[in-house]
Amino acid sequence: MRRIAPPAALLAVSLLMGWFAHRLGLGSVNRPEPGFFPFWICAGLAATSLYLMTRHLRQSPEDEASSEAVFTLAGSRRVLSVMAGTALFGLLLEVSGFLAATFIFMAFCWLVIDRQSLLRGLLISAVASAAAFALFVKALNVHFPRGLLGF
Amino acid sequence: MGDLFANLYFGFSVSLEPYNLLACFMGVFVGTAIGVLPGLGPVATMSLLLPITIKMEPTAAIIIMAGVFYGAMYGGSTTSILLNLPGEASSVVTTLDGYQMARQGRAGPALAICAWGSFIAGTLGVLGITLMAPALAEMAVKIGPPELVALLCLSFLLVIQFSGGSRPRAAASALLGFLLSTVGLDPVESTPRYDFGTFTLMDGVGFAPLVIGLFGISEVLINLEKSEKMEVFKGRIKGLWPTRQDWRDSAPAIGRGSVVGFFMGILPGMGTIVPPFLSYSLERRISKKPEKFGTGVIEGVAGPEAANNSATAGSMIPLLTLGIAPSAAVAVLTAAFLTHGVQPGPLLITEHPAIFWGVVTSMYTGNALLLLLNLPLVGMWARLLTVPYRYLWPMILLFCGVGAYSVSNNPVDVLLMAVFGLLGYMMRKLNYPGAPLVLAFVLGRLFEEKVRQSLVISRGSYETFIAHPLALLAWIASAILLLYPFFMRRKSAPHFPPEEEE
Repeated sequence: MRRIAPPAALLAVSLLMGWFAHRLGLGSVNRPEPGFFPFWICAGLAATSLYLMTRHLRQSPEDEASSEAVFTLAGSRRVLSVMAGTALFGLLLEVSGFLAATFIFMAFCWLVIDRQSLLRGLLISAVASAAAFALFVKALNVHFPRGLLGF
Repeated sequence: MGDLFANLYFGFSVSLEPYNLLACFMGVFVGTAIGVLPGLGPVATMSLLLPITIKMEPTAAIIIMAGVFYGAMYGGSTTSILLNLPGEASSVVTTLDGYQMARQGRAGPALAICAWGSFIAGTLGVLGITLMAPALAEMAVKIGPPELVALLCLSFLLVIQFSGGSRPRAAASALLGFLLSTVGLDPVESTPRYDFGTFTLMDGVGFAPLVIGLFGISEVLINLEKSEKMEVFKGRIKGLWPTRQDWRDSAPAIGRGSVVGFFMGILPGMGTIVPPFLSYSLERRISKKPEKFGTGVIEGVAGPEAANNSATAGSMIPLLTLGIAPSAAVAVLTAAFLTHGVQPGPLLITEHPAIFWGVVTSMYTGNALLLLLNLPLVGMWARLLTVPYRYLWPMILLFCGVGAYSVSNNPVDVLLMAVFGLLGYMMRKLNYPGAPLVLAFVLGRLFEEKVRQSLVISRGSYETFIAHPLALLAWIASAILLLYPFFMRRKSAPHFPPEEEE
C-alpha cells in the first residue's frame, strides 16, 4: 500500500498546480495564455499518476513486498541529518559568513553525523574550512556574504 | 574539404591557446578524477563547475565542461577493473571482464586497452562531429517551430523509453521536469507563474540547485547508506603495453564499439549507458567463443569502453546542430552555453565559429591528454581510491553548496538544492529516473515557446504540426515508440540497468 504513496503525491501536486494554471488563464488554441502549457502538463501528470496508482493497487501483496524500496530508520535519520546540515549551511551563510558557516557545517558532518572524536573532528573541520576558504574565496574569487565576523 | 581543413586549422589555433589548453587539461583531469571516484559523477561535477566557469571566456568554459564529460568515461573504467565497482554507470559492463582480467593478473593490459580503446573511439567520434555537424547544422537552419516541436517530442519519448526501468515512472519524471520549467515568468507574455510571491521563484527554478541536488546530493545520501568497504586492488599494475595478440583481439571490437557508440549517442535517451551494453552484446554474439565472455576476455573490455567514449562525441551532435540535449550531461553543457549568452544550435557555427571549432578541436587534444593521464599515471588514480569516503562526503556536500550558491549569490538556492537532493534521493530509492526530469526541465521552456508559436502562427490549427515531412516522420517514429511496448509485451526486451548518472 505504501507503494501508491509516491504516485498519490504526484497526483496531489498535479491537481494543485493544474488549479493554479487554470486560474492563470488557459486562453484558446489559437491564442494560448500563460496557464495553457502548465495545465496540460498537469493533466498528463495526473493521468500518469493515476495509471501508476492503479497498477500498484493491482499488484499482489507478495509482489509489492518484493519491490518495496528499503527505507530504514537509521538510514532515514542519517538522510534527514545531512539535509538539516545542508539547510543550516544555507541559513548560516548570510549571518556568519562563509568561513564560520563552513566550519560549523563541517563540524556538524564529522562530529554529529560521522561520530568522529571531538579533537579529530574539530581539527579536520578547521583544516577543511581553511582550505575551502583559500580555494573559493582567495583563488576562485567567489563572492560570499561577509557575515557578522567580517570574512 | 578545403573548408574543413581551414576550419580545423582555425579551431586548433583557438584550442591550443595556452589558456584554452590549460582549461582542456583541467577538464580532463577533473573528469578522470571524478570518473575514478565512485560517488560523484560528471553531471553533478559539471553543475558544480558551472558557477566557477561563469567568469571564464565562453570557449574555455565550454572546453573545461566538455573535458569533464568525456574525461569521466576514461576514469570510470579504472574502478570497474580494479574494484569491480563501476566509477560511472557507463562502465558497468567493463566490470564483467575487466575485473576478471585483474584477478588473473592482467589488470595492466585491461587498463591499457581501455585507455587506447577510449582514445581511438573518442578521436573517431570527434572526427564524426567534424564531418557531420556542419552539414547537419546547415539543414537544421531550415527547421521551423512545428518541426522542432515534433523532434522534441520524439526526443522526450526516446529518453523515457531508454532511461531504464519503468516507462510510466520515467514519463512522470519528465512531466515533473516540464512543470518545474514553467515556474517563473512565462516565455511569451512574461506573466509570473508559480512564484508564490517570492522574487527567487519569479526568476524560475535555478538549473544549478536542481541538478546538483538531484544528482550530487542524492548520490552522497545513497552512498552514506552503503556500509560495505571497498576492496582495492593491491597488486602491482604491470604490462601497460598490450601484446600483439591483445591488439589483434581488441582492434575489431574497438572499431565496432566506436561505430555503435557514436550513432547510439546521437539518439536522445541513449546517453553513454546503453551503447556499452549493446556493444558487449554484439561482441558476444559474433564471437567464436561466446561462453568465455565474463571470464576475462579482452574484447569484452575493448568494445564497451570504445562505445561509451564515442557515445560522448555522438551526443554532442544534437546539441551543436539542433540545440537539443540528448542526455543529462549534455543538458548541463546546454546550460553552460546559455549562461555565457551563446545559443547552441544550427547558428552556432556561423555566429560563434571560434567556440564551435575551438571546442571540437579541443576534444582531439583532450583525448590525447587523457591517454597520457590514464596510462603512465594509472597508479596515482588507483591510490586515489584508497581515500576513505567518510573524509570525502562532507567536502562533496560543501562543493555542492558552494556550486548552488554562487550562480546567483542567493542562499535560498542552497535550501532549494537541499530540497531537490531529498527529491533525488526519494526518486532513486523508488526507481524514478532523474535524467528525463533534467532534460524536460532544460528543454521545457523552448518546447512551450515553440508549441505556442506554432499555434499562434497557424491560428490554432493542429495540422501545422504534421504539415512538414520531417515533422510527420518524427510523429510516425514517436507513434511507433509509443505502441512498441504493446506489441512487444510478450517478447522479452533487452534490459538495461536503471540510469544513475551519466
